[in-house]
Amino acid sequence: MTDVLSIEDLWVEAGDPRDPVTLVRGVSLSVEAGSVVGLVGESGSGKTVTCMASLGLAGRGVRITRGSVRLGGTELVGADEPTMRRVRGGVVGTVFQDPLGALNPLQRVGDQIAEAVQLHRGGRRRAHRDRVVHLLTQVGVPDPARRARAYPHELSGGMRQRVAIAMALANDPSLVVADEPTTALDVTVQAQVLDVIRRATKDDGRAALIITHDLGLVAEVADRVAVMYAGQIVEKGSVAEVFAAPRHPYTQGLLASRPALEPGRRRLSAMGGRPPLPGSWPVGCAFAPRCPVAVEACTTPPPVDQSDGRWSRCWHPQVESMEGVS
Amino acid sequence: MSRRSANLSLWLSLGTLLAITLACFLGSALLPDDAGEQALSERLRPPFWSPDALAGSPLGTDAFGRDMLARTLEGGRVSLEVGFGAATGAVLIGTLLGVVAGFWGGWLDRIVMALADVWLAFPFLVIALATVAVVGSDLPVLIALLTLGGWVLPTRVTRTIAQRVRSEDYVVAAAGAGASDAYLMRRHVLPQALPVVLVVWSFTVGALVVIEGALSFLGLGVKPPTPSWGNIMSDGTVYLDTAWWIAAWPATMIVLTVICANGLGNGLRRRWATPDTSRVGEKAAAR
Repeated sequence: MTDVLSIEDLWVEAGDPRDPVTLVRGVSLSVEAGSVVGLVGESGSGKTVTCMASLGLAGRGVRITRGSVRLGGTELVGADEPTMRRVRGGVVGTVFQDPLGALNPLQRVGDQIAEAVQLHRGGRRRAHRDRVVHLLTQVGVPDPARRARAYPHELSGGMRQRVAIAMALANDPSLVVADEPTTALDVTVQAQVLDVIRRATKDDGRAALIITHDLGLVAEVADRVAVMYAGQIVEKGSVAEVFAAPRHPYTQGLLASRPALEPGRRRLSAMGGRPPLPGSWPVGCAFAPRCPVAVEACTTPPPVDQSDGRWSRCWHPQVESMEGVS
Repeated sequence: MSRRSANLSLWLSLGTLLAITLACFLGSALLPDDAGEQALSERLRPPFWSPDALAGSPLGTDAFGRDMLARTLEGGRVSLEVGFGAATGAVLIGTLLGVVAGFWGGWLDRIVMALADVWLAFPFLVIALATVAVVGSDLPVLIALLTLGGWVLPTRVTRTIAQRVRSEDYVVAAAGAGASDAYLMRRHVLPQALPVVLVVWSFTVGALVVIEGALSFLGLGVKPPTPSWGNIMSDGTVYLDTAWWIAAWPATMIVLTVICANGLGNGLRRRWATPDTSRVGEKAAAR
């Protein structure tokens, strides 16, 4: 399978160039055509920055210092603005966390979707009305022709996120990047929106990179998962393998702290401590201070362990099953 | 102030301002008397309520027997041309600079803002006097000069708006959909700035009409025989004790215009009450 997106050894920093703060340290990640990859991690782990910097959307002062981002055969690091504009919205559609914020409150939602179409296909906005209705139907908005004339505040959170997804799909991109697409929604709506995302990606054979801290979401829609901690990927692999037998102690901790729907009372386990802030990452393994199995060696940068076709960044990857941990 | 009274002041100001403008631009063409036509036998005739009033000159005549009604309207045309023209120019330049500086930031933003600070540090009237003394005071020069006098406020407020809108998620989202910076500024920043720009425009008209009046009063603005409110007032000061009306009519018009321009600005500000527009009111009031 060919890779739609391939990030190689990406380093990102921000702030004063003389005293930069490193946000992403050598992330390598690829998304195969038609597959869905979940990128998980706590706040500040660099998962959003990785994606936004790759698309050149991370904002002022955030710089890629090393590495390569290839999207459908186009190198994006160092690419000029016209190239980036053609790629954004054309090859890759983006969905943001807060659907209310991602829509201009002063414009009708239909116009905003039409705008996304117009930017790549030209013509007048009105000429794309059929396309807008088609897109809204695709994301499950009832009575799309009427809803297209609504302003964002007239729609519910779930409807807004559907509109935002319709915008991302406007030009039939080969990859959808979704940054916490369900986080801002009510739990009851999350499942519906998740369904829309699944249909728009997996079912249509479209690749997706979904940034989230919701492991349940990953288990439901993703084929592969990458776990980030302190600006690095600490473990990646197929969802089935990683969820069944996580190698990295951090992944184990994350999985163990999920509430389980099983009979019997059980305390919800939680990891002690909190993730280190960017700029104060330890020299060795960044997870070592919180790691239940840390040893002396963990104060030096851990190697990547690729035994048995797995991938983890740890001095002593855990090979036993989850039973002993939870 | 209630919404209703805010609207009343808005409509009253707008109506009066429109009436003044129409009267000045149409009236000087429609009136039988020419603003420059002298009648030395009818010098310094008082307004209509006096028994000595001259028929056909309800506002009296000046020291050359020229009709004050015609002069006030014609002078108003010149003053308003300068005021509206310069305010429009200032707002156009300011909006362009402010939106671009706020949106892009970086060195461009620093240069524009430094220029604005430096510009405000100079007393504008002194710069204006010096320029006019050197370059002369043709109408285009005056408009250009006053445009420079008014660019800072619109620049600052639109910059603030551009900075805020720039970091809104929907702008990043639109960029993510492939929009260029120019497109984002035009389609997302400008519509948000527009109400504020209109408010600033109307405050600026008021401020610039006063400055034009001051320059012409000092003999450095519009040159006689072309009348303007400022130079008619200047002519009238000599006769304040005998023919006070010469200075009184243009002075009244300036006061009325400024009150209406500010009333319009305030009314629009209240009608479109947003955090942006209320800040503008504070800034304009602080001047």
